[in-house]
Amino acid sequence: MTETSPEIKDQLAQILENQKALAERNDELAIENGKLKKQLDELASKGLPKDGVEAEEPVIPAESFKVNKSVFKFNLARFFVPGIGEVSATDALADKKKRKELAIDGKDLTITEWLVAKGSGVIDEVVA
Amino acid sequence: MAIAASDVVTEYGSYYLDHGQSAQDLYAKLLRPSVTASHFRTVPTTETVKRYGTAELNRILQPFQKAFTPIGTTTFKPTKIELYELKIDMQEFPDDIADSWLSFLEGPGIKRADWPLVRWLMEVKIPERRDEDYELNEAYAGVFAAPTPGTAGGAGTAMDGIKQVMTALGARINTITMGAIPSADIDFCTYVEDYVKNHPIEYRRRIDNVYMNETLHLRYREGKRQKYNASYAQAADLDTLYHFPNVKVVGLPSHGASNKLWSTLPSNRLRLVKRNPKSLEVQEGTPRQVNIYGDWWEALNFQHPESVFKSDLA
Repeated sequence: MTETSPEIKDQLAQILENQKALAERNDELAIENGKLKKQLDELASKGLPKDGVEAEEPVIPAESFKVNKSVFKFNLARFFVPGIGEVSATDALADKKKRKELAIDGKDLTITEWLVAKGSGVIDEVVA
Repeated sequence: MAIAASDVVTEYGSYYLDHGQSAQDLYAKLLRPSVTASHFRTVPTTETVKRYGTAELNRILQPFQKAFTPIGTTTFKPTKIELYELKIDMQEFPDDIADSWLSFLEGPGIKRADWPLVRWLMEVKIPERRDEDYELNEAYAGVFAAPTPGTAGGAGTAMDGIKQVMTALGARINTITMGAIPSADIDFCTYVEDYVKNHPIEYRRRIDNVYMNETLHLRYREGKRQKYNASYAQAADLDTLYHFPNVKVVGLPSHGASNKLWSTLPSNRLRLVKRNPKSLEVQEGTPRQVNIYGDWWEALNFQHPESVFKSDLA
């Protein structure tokens, strides 16, 4: 029986190594797949479609918000905030994060606090 | 509606003496020319409602895999632009000037519709007044209100001006929250620069002008002069933005006291026109009465509202 040449042995070793790597990758993907399926089932149980949801048109929120004892309401559904980018009024209402980009006199502010401080026209003060 | 010449008659008498006076002896206060409409692309039309559409396609590029995984949604939106009909109606009794210093405007032996008075009104006074009424009352500040039948409509009700158009388009127009106008001119220069800086990157190099009222325009020029403390060879340099020399600040008379800034692509500003706004007709009605009238349809609007930007002040 002829002995296998060193070159062929190297090639075989490489092939076996590649096969092992592919098998490991396959196992990883199978685990990830399982996790994604579980997430989809959880979404489906909440009544959301598995194919994804199209982004809805932003709306002007009916709720008001309070800053410094004054009450305000949004009059526009979406707008650009310098340093932040495009924001929907609904998201601005829900966002409670004090932001460095919106700081005035060294004090970080939330989006709604910044809009009030700037006298922005996208909000109206609600007078009782 | 009438010729009010009583003050001339009181001062110069109810008779005509030819001292060589002519229309060149008639002076008037300066009226504002029509400027705003010149920034809009005139599109003649035969329709009174123009329909456009916008089409947006979201992300389509993705990494390769053998499975067919389509993405990308094409969204069509309608943009309907209604034109408004504007008119000029004037009624005069040319004989009111016959027995006065103004009688050089009379035309003895010719039809009253051809009198120099009527020609002077049609060629000089009416166009001046039409342009100022359009500029100061309608082009920006106008809010259309249907007139009561038989009663002349009020100033600023002939059409929706740019401000009302932007309000009606709501969230389709991009609002950049800039807040109150700073009191210092140098800070206002920074305010305008920040306004442009906060446009999406793809628009910053494509918009041509930032429109505002004339007082704010002057404040910007003063602020830029103070901020950059340099002498400029041409006055036009004070109108451009330091980091965006493609953008000019333009003050429009139509903006009055409005604090709004707005901007868009040059091709996006439309002035739709049906019939010639400068065309006037004259007709002799009941004996000795001359009617001068003209009418046309027009609208100032935007072809792609999603490419319009404005600040958040009124």
